[in-house]
Amino acid sequence: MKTIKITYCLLFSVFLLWSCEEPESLEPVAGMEGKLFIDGEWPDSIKATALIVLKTLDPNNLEVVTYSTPMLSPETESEYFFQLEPGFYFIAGAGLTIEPTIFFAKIDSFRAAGDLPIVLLDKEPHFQRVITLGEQEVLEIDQTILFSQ
Amino acid sequence: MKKVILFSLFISILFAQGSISGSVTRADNGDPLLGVNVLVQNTFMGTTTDINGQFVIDQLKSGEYALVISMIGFKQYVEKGIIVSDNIIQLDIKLAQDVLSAPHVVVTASRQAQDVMELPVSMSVIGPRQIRDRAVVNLTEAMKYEPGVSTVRGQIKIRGATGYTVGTGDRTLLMIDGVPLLGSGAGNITWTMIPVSEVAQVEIIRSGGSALYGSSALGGVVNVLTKNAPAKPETRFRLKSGIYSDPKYKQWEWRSKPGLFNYLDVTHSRPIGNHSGWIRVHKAKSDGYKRQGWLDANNITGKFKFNFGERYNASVFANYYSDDVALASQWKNAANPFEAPTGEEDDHTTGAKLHINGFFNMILSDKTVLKFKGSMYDVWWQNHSATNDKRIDEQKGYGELQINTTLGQKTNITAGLVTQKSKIRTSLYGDHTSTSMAVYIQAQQRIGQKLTLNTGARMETYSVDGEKLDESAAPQIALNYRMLDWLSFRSSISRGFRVPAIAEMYTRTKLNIFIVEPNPDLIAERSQAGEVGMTMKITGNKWISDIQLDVAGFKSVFDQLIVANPNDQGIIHFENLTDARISGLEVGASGALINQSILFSMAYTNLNPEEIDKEGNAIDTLAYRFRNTLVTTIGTRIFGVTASIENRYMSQIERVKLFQENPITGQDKRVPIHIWNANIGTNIRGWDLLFRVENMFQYYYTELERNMGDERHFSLTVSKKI
Repeated sequence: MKTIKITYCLLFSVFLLWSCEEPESLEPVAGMEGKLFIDGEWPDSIKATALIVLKTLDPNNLEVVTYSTPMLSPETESEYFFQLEPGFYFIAGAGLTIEPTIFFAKIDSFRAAGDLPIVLLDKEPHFQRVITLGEQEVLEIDQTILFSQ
Repeated sequence: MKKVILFSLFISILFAQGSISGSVTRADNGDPLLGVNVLVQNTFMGTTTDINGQFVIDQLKSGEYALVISMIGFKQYVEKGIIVSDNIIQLDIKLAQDVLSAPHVVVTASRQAQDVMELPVSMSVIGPRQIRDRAVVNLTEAMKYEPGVSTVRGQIKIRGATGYTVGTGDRTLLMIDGVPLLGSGAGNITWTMIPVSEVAQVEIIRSGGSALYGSSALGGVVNVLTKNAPAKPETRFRLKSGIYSDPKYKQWEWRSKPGLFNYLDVTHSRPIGNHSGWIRVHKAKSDGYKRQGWLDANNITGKFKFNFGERYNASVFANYYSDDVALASQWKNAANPFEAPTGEEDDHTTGAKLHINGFFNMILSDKTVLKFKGSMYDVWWQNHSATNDKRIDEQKGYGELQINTTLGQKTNITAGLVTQKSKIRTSLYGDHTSTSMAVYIQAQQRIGQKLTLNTGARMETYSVDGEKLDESAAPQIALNYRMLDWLSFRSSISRGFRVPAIAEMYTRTKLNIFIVEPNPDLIAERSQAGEVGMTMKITGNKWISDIQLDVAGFKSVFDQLIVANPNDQGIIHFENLTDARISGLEVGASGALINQSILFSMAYTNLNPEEIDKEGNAIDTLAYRFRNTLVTTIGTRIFGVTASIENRYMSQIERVKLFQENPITGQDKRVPIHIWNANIGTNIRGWDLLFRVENMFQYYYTELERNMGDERHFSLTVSKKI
């Protein structure tokens, strides 16, 4: 019986020590938030728009880091938020040429084929294209995509 | 002549039947105790005391017996060496109070009173002390300290059987006083309806319960036993008030004044002639720890127990609950985790629920009891949201006839018939009716003094809109071997099933950018489960005492598990998508040190939740399951002051369904959960005071993607019995 009691106390102590493991609580993040406006008429070929974040602006090697929740035609205003690691990024407007639900359902096969149904909307006159983010810094910037009149 | 006399004597000894009667009173003031369990050890014979604390056990064959007398909050008492022939044994038993002891007798595992050391399946039992010491207002807060039990955003999962489904398809059956409370339309559990302050005992079957309780008990059973009124009139009052901390980080602050919460319970109970009853009024109001976390609820509950002489008794339980609750889908974004998405700031749901259940017991003979159970459940709610104004109105009726009979002293048979009918009118998934019929039987056979064999099965048919959807059989075989008074082993194998909820078959709605479409072709999911376990209870000495250790290893295989699955077009259907296998280990331990001045308990669960292919090969991890869970509590009771510290650890959820972690941006990061709680309490002039802080180090985590877990909050609970 004494052995059982000692074993029991040791077992309990081991579990207690384990519960003191170093915690990893969530902390404030870095990113960019604001409103995205559409100026002009939506072209028929564009089903949705979004802001995309890129590591480089090389049109032959678009390295998309993340993108905002798509705004559907014919909406003209939406909020956006990107969570990003601290660093230097390029921002661009992008148009989706297929329905967003289909795009997100098949995104892996689009990526594998290297043929994303996305076009860059790079004609915006008042568009902040470059950001630098510090630790836990969230930039608030409104952006406008200008569709041709 | 001499031979005749000797033969007559032999016959009279052989067939002599005696009885044990007596009274049970409180040791401190001599008051009679109502509802004390009196069991004849190593038999299926037993009874409970009446309003005067009296009991009688008749028709005992000649022999030597031991009587086990137990009640929640009192030390278990065993009277050994009672010699019965054709006499009447009179016992006067005084029970000493013991606030530390866990409940000794349960009723859910085999539908009759049973010593916890003789259970054939794994079960956790929560007594009023665990509820009171944690100032619990929602029962899930107490259950997550038990081995094998965890919660994700209020949805309970036992041994990982349920992942996370938004308000539908629960695999745990909730019962109040033995009658199911599950809503059949969505198949979800309404925890807020339970009158926590009037709970006598919560019994959790962790190893699946379809053999006795049918569909929805696939993953386990939670049976909430409510209190009976005490022998003297009594008014009880409890107020829990508190405040939420502001977020630790300035970037996350979202409101100008602190969030508050208040929960008030007032209960009056009294005997009325031979009958007794209580009525409880409850008000809950909380600002919540996040923008869409507020709540405003009202609840009135009553229970009346009728005693019509020695052979008949009945009980009626009624509960009306109405609420207005914030409707939350996810946070605004990771930079504003306590705020609601734009446009959803005022979304809320209003609703009301009425639940009435009751039973009528007829004692046909000393060995046979007939029990009628019935309930009705009426639920309506309405969403108030710019994108979703769905409503639901549902009525459910339930009836059960159960017979329990003891054959000799070694065999007990429980059998029953169950019928249930639901009618649903909703803009969410249309108007439907469902009907189920079931028959069950369970036999308990004592083999020698130490071994108990349980065998049973349940047959159930289920129809929706008049068409038979499923017909299932769920057998179970279980063994308990009580090797010593303080040590027992158990083993069981069983099959289970769950028919799809109407919501899973017919829901048509829009959720953010996703569309949910109906799938009326769903079929029932099934399981095979097995477990081995051990329970050890040692009284101990003054240095180390009240030791309880429970260890179980288990494995369940699920066929055709129903999960929400997006297709190529992003349209979600509930589908019989996968087979799964969950194996694991549970350890529950508790005890006391140094004259019960230091108390400790812990519950550890290890799960291996796998999706498997048809050949049984693992292909992925099941979503929304915690692989490791550890809950530890250490407390002290010195000079009338109680204090304790609790830690709850849950390993990081390895797989989710909606938003996967993005390693490049850090978006949707998941972390393990480490929560520390503490409380200190005392009694001043008859007023119980309990100060409690939860999540005291402000640990931030998500149980469900994009939903921040509880913020730190402080509470003071004041209660008094008049």
